Amino acid sequence: MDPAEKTTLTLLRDFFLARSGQDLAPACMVLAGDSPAAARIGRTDWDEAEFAFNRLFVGPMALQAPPYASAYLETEPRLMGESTLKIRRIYEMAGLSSPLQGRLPDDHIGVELDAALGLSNMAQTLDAEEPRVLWRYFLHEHLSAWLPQFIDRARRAEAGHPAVDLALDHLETWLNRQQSKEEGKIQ
Amino acid sequence: MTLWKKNDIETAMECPMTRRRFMKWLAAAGVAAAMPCGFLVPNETKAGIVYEGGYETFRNACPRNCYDTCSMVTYVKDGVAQFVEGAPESTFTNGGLCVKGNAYIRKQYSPDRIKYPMAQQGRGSGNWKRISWDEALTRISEKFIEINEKDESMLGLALTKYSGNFGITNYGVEGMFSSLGYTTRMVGTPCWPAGIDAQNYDMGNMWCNDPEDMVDARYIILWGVNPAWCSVHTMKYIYEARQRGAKVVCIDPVLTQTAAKADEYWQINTSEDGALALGMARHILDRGLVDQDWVAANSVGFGEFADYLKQEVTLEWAAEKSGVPARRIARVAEEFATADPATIWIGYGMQRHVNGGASVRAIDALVAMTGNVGKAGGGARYGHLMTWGFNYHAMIQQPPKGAKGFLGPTAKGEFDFTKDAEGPAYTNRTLNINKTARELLNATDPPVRALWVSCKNPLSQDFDRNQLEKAFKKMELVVVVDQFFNQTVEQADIVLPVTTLFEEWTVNVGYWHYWLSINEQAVKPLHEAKSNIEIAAALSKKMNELKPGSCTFPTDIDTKEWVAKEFNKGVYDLFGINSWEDLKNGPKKAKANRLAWADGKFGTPSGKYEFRSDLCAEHGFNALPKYVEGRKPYDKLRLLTPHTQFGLHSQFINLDWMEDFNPRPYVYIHPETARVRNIADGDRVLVKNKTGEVTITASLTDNVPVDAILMYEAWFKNNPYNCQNLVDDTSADMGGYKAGAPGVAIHDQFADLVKA
Amino acid sequence: MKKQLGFFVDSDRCVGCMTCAMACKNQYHQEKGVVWRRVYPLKEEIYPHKERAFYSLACNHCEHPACMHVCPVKAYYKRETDGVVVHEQEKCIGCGNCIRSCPYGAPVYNPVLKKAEKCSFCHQRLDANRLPMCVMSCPVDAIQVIDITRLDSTGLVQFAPGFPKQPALNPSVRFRLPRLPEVVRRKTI
Repeated sequence: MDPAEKTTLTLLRDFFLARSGQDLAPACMVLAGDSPAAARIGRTDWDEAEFAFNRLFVGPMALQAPPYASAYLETEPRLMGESTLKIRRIYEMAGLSSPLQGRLPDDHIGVELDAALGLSNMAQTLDAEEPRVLWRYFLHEHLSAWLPQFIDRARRAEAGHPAVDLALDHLETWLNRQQSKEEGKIQ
Repeated sequence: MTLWKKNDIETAMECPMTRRRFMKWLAAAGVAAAMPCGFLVPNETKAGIVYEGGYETFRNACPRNCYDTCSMVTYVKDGVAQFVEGAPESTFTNGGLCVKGNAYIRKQYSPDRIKYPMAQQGRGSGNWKRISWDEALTRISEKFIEINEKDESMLGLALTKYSGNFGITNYGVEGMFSSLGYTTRMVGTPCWPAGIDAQNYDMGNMWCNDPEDMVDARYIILWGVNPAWCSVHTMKYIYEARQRGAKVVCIDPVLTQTAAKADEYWQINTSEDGALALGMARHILDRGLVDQDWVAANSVGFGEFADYLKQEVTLEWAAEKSGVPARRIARVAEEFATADPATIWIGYGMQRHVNGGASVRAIDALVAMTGNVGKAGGGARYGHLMTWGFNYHAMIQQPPKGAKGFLGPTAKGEFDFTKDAEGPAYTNRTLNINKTARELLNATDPPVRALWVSCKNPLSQDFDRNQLEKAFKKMELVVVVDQFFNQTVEQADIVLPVTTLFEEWTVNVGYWHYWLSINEQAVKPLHEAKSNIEIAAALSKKMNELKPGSCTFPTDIDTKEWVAKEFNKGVYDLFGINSWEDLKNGPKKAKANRLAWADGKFGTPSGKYEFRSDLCAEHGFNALPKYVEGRKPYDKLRLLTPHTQFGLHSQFINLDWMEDFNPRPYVYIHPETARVRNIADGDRVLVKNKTGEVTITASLTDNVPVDAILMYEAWFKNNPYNCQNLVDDTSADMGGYKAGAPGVAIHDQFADLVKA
Repeated sequence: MKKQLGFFVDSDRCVGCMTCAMACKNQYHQEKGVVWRRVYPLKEEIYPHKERAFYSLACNHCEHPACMHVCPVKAYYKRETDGVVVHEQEKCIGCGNCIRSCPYGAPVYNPVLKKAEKCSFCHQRLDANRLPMCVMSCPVDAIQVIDITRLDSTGLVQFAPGFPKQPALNPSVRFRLPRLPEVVRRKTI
């Protein structure tokens, strides 16, 4: 990943782990940069963005686009399923764990994007085969398996918002670039 | 160098050995060097003993408002609850749960759970902001302090809580309110109060035998009760009694699932239970089948009751009122009086009427005059609270020094086991829970300004929904503590996520069977959920931070220790245990009290069974268990809104697992009633009355009588259905004596319907 | 004769509480809409009171299972020890042959995995000396595990009314039929 991609990933992570509109704003502003969307994002009512964000990803009502991998990968959309625990193992294999283990599902998108940051960095900087394999596995077998469905569901949800669309667009672009850059799937 | 393949990674995710082999690289590379993450941290979990493939098991207890209060075992792996079973040690639960209990895993891990404290900008707007616990409690505390300063008391602060979670430590919600000062409490119960008072007038307490002794009954009348759906674990005892030769008669306006399993089913005219019981009593008297010895030794007022029967009751009159043919009444009366022992299970449905308490008294009398009170396999079974002798440590809290409160008459709920305080003039202000809407609207001096809702979903469960919406609008602050986004949460300012049974420590007993179960914390609370007592402690901390001395609730608590503090020697002795920790080996059944009134010492003023109760007369009712007319119909058809098998009040029905079996609500209509209105099976219909309306799908069945329609009380996800749109808040006769407020005439409602 | 496990469906005791069907979900967490055990209300021609008598049915673990015979990839096998018919989902290619050929609707399609699946008789539980979850959970003992080869079948039937009669498959299930209460209705209005 080049530095720009890492920055994007960091911003996306912060976006999806946001607790309020005030957290969404800086991530979105930087993501928009000087693109045509920037002016529109600049005029955003961040309360409105937060309400939409919560309808999609937080609650308290039933979520329109649950931001948890297991909601897409399990045969039933549940939290803390088998797939969540597999992701916990991947983190473990990279020497990592979530400080909120057992409370925030390990496969929440924000945590996974953080893991992507960590795994790709290890793959790049460390002289070992394992982190490279692990990163490619995580990217091709896991993130690629659910993020497209998640992006699609969030885009089609009733509670859309330009700020959310901006993040989803960047997430999609980021994912596509990683998929094409990384030497293909592992065997 | 090993070349790791995709398969190896997948194997490593499953197999700890391979995983450890894989992880050797970590030591070589040095983890710290590779720490670019902002959220994840170096893994410091020590390699403990892991029994791969095995499960850890935990003891849980279903805390819902249900006869069965099942003892459960939860299987946990990787800190995640995987599946549940009934505890095999309880002969009552007997290893199996029910359709609801088996859905708990789904409830726990549903993506729909409320995860964080959140605040709504504009009630009902759907515009929610996530806030921290600290911010939520600050906003709440500031409001409470503002109320106290404005009114010089906390009476503007009201609590509505009932049966959403019967775990004993959850009475800490009441404790939290007491620790804030004198407040306003919604008191009473929509459930069973008329019958409680009736049994108190007759016998001096609500007390029934262990349901497991029903196997010894020779005759069982199931009167307005549907155990096949609402106490499914009791059915096996009824079957066993039947196999041993007992006859089972079911009396209900509806041909219920229980009716289908009886020998004989009577479709009684709704709310005429008293007339039917008195007709049977008259016939028993006429045939000389009264147990004269028992009556002489153990009762007062039977002579007067017999005179009343002779003068004002006939078999034909009872037949006309109840709709049951006289010869049937006569035969079953004779069979009942001659069977030994014979028992009647009095359901809660049959007392949700303006004459409900009177009807229960008439049935009690029938059981007593045949000498069946105080016998194993006999009895007038209704419910009991004989196993609830906890310390109520979480519940009993003192008001802050100098707190001011209410001066005037107050009421106490049936689960309020606190002793009346001596001396202090001030008390809480009590409002009738069954008239929540109008009480909240009408309360003055001070008005109710803030409402705290816990263990309850008033907008799905309370009556006169339209008025209740108005009452909510009047509030300056509404705080709702819940797990799912139900119709009450929709109208909250602040919602707080509360733990499930798997996430908290507590202890449970039932009001029907005699088992005691510990509820262990099996997994960590998901997201940011807190238990009710943790919420109370956190609120107290914030209150004291903002205004020292404003709340007495302990601010630093260990929830496991708080369970221990609920136990005492009385509980240990009753259940034959040395420590509450013994319950980790399985639930325990009470060693005593399981045979009600066996010694003939009643709790009435006379110490006898009172066919004539002067106390009842003092309270404004008949001294004798006389017939009382039902409510006059105010529309064309009677409307029944009983319990479904798929939920407990508004819990479970919203889960998608449950939707597989119960996807939508129906109104059940007799084919003839539908025909004259040109309604076909599956049509959408509009049900309407003076209170409101409901649009719903029709299901035609002659299980319901021709003059009634039925819809089940429920909260469905993504469906505005709410039967309380049609139910007004008319009171039942009794309930004010022991439950704090009269019951509510849920089944004395009327409506008509047309094709939508 | 070798052991053949099956289900005894006691409709006389069954109260249609759906506990068995939900207990199955509790153990296996099937996708919404995918149900291995169903509690079927009897048609009113068979039992006159609507939704008041039921057959609780899942896979009947037939002596000659149609699913096994039509599977092109041998994803089904019948256990030697107890006659339980097991579907190995990892072998399944989702062709749907089994779903179409089973007259009892036991194999069902999982639209997420794009494969078939069905009741396993909880054979892993059986091997750990535990009852199948549905049987263990039934509060009225209305479904029980039986060994068809050692059964006293007095009063029981194999092909209950409404249950497809397929003697060639020889489904391992036996029924007791539901009772009818004496019903006394009001003759009002």
